[in-house]
Amino acid sequence: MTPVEICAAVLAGIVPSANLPELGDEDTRQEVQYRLSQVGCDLVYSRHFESWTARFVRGAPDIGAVDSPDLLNSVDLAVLAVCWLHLRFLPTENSRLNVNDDVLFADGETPQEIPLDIPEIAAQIPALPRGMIKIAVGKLKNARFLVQREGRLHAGPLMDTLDEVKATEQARRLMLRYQRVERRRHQAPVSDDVQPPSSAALSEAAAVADAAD
Amino acid sequence: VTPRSAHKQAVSGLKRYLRCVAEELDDSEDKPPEERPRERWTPVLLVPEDMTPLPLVEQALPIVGMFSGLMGRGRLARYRVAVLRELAMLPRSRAHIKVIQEAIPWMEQSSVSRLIQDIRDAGLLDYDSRADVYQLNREARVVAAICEALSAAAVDYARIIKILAATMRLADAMNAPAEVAYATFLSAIAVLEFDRSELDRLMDDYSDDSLLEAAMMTESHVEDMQSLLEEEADMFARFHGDPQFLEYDQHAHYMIASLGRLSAEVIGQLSQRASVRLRGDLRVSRDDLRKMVAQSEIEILADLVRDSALQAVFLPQNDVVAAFTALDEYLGKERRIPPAPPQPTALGVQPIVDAGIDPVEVAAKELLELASARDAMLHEWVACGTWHSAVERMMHAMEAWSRYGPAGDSSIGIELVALREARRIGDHGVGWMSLTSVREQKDQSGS
Repeated sequence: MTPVEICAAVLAGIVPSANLPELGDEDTRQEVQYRLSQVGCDLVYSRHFESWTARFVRGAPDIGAVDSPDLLNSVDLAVLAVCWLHLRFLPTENSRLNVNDDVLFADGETPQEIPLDIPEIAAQIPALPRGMIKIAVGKLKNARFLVQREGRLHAGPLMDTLDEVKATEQARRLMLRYQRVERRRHQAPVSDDVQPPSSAALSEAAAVADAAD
Repeated sequence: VTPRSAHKQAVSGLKRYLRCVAEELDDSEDKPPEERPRERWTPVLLVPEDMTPLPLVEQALPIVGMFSGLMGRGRLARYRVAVLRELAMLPRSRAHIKVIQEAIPWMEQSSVSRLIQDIRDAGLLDYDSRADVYQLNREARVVAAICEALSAAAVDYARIIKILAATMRLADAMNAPAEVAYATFLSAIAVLEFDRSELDRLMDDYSDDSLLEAAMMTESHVEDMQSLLEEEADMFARFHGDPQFLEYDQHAHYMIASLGRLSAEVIGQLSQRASVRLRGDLRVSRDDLRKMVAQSEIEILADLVRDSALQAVFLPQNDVVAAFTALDEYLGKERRIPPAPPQPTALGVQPIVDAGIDPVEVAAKELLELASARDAMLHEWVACGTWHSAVERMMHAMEAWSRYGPAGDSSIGIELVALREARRIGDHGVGWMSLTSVREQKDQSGS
């Protein structure tokens, strides 16, 4: 296939890499990437699904005239984030626990993915009605961020295109903050027999100190 | 004297005159107004002045006023401080103006003289007219030392407790009233209080770097406070009779313990986090993840993937044909209905089988006869022949009673009344038997 034909293929859908052996060639791949970049697109690869597709380089412009039923809003992104946390972040983090302390980085083994279902997602986002979550899941399935097999939701090929480094860093920060808050919540209260002075007394003392200074 | 040199001298003199006039004008800015409008009022006290810190403050005013005289207003303050500093460094305690001028080679001699006069007016310099010498008084040496000590652009907050501790030692050296040290001690406690509130605020924030920085500063303050309490223990011993001081002292120790623990925990956790980030192993359970998600706001969750969740170019289209095919298949599914009954078959007509005499019927007739005989007992019919026949008759009598008696269709019209007695039979294989009376059933009306 020529680079133009490859562009047409990946723009049309998700193509298994076995059907596009030409992309194994560096020059061809660069040619395809260049042509796609000319129209604001990028060539992306899903390592879990071993397939190629094209995606937009950036999101839709922030103008109200864009009428796209599949445009992802904050609710959709939040649902996607929850799915990513369970399907990718959690298995990856836990797969690193067995890493030798002398080794800085984990190996590249694919961690076990535990599929989700809509009730479980809905239970974790109580602020959203279940119908809204169903719509979001539907949009994410259409966009191939999720795939559904036997009623359970799995990560789709587009899930591999997320910036995992950045998302992982933010997720760790959220998790550490949660753990910190939980630890503080469970901390034993201070001894009752040590009572700090009243604020009025401290204010008065501070005024005396200021005057003396 | 040539006209040219006379002209030069006149110009030089004019320049000096103009410079003097300009400096006079500058100096006039330094002089405070006789009475500033903002200070034409007196604060109203709610308690007698003796019960306020004012007497304590008033004691300090003479020396504090020296600072005011030294600094004044305007741009000459820095010159006066610099000259005072040079005076404090002179090896002689008393010096002639010439010596002073030579000790300050970086300033014109007339300027030095004018500034010396200013310093003298501020009460920092004594002048012996007989010997024509100047001498720094003791207050001036303290003022000069403090000005030297304050040679920093700003107060380093990390060293605030150290600075307060130093002022306490200074107050002690100055033989200041003990209340001054007391007040400074409370000021140090207030610093720890502020640190605590700052840590609490940052812990609820996302700014880990600021939190780590604040925790390290708090740890430094705690160490300084601990040193202050240890080093100034003798000074604080003066207040041990004051219950309020003991309360503050206890609070200070409480703050040291709690803040020290908190800052150490924060530093440990955040420092550990650095290694965690590097190594990439954060222990996460699914339950923790669920709770974390449940506590997070929608926008925060969305921000995890907002920048990178870019959609594919292709727009998946629903296959209408496939959808309707699936619907048809779904609607066409056989419902779960119960299995059909078996096909009817002709039943064979069998001849009536002669079942013989029903012993229950016989028993019913016998019971009727016993009832008609009045005061008859059941054993009179049951006990006959052998034990087995007696047992069979008893079973048949009970069956007849069940079938036709009050528990059955009530057609027999008799009643069996069990008596609390047993009668010895001693015949027909029956030894003893409980007595059961058989009699006609009475009507509901009692007839």
